[in-house]
Amino acid sequence: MIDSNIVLIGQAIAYTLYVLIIMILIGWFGYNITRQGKSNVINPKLFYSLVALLVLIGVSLHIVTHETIPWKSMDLNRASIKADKTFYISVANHKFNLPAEKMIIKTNNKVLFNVTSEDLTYGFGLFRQDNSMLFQMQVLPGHKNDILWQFDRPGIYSIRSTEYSGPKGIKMIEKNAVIVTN
Amino acid sequence: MNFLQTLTNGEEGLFKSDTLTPMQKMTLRFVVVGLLYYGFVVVEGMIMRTYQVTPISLIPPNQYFAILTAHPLVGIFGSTYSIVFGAFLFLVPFLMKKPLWSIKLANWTCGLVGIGTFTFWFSGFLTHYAPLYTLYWPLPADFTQFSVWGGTFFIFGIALVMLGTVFFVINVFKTITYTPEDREKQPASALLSSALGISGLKNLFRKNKQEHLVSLPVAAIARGTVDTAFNAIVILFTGVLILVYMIA
Repeated sequence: MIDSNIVLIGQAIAYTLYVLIIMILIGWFGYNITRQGKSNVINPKLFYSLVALLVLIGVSLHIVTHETIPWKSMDLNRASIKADKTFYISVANHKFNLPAEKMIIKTNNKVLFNVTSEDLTYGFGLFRQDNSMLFQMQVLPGHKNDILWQFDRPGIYSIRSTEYSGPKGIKMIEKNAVIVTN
Repeated sequence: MNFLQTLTNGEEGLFKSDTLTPMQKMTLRFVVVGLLYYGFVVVEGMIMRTYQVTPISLIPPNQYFAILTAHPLVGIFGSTYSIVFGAFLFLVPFLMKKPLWSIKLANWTCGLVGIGTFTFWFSGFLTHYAPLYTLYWPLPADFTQFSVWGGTFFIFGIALVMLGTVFFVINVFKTITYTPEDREKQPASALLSSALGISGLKNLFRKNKQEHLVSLPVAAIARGTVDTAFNAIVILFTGVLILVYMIA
């Protein structure tokens, strides 16, 4: 599975280029219709063809980048995938109640995190050592909240609540809670 | 002339409030309320920025989150709504060359937006009510963290603003659709249809194009007002639900 950091960088580059192309088109259009002389008329066919091309690129970009999202296929085929390990975690009073045993995972294992909230809406996110986020989901009280993830490299991750749950929620960090080994 | 005199009477006393028409007074009220809350928001924004760089000892974390909750609402409702409502309540009659349907209702809008904004801001300031604007249920009703009175007055303040917004929506559409007594009667449905772009849409498929009864800026204001109406309905309904839950 591609690392979510790479997807993020790739998408940022692709969408920045796309926006720049749009800005160049608008700039070209604005310059041409405002300049002095006879040639301040743009052929509508040319203009609308370029707009159509931009729409086509935009939609294609969505489809292509959609395919690069690493967890997409696993999410779509959830019903037929059996998790190698399942961790049950509950959250109450702004505190994660983790399993009694340390959460140790083998590389390439598929792991299901089943998280329930007993009071408020929280977030459940795994963060790398450099504080960047690996994944996150919302944890709603009274609902089933789970996420299936395949860890493709060793690492140590902290768990944090990624949703605002009041001033008490800012301290919801469990350091080095998940360990992925070879 | 000192600063206060210049502020109230204008440069060299040139601002003469007694010469203003009721429309001018109404518009000016909205501008004053809007700018006042803009000042609030600017100060709050700077406090929050500073706090993120280094926590300020005078402001406890609960107060910081209360500011974080009220700040965008003061900006949107207290400042932006006031200035935009004032401008549109002036512009619609001006562009349609007829009086505003009700100046009294416009003044009520201004009062409700101004008082409502102060009510929810002050409630947050005093009680540190801070569910944030995301309002993830049941956080707004989490009374282990927040005071029930704080929440009640906060939501009541928002409800007042929304009531003012409903008055604005009524005023704009009534101004668009009514015909003054001294003029030839124009059907309200045709005016409304033009303002909402329905007649324009039909024109795309008609051979004999119908004339637009409403100018483009008025149509743009009318369509924006529809969004405001939907917002008001949803927020008012949600607010009342939360309020009932809190009181019950």
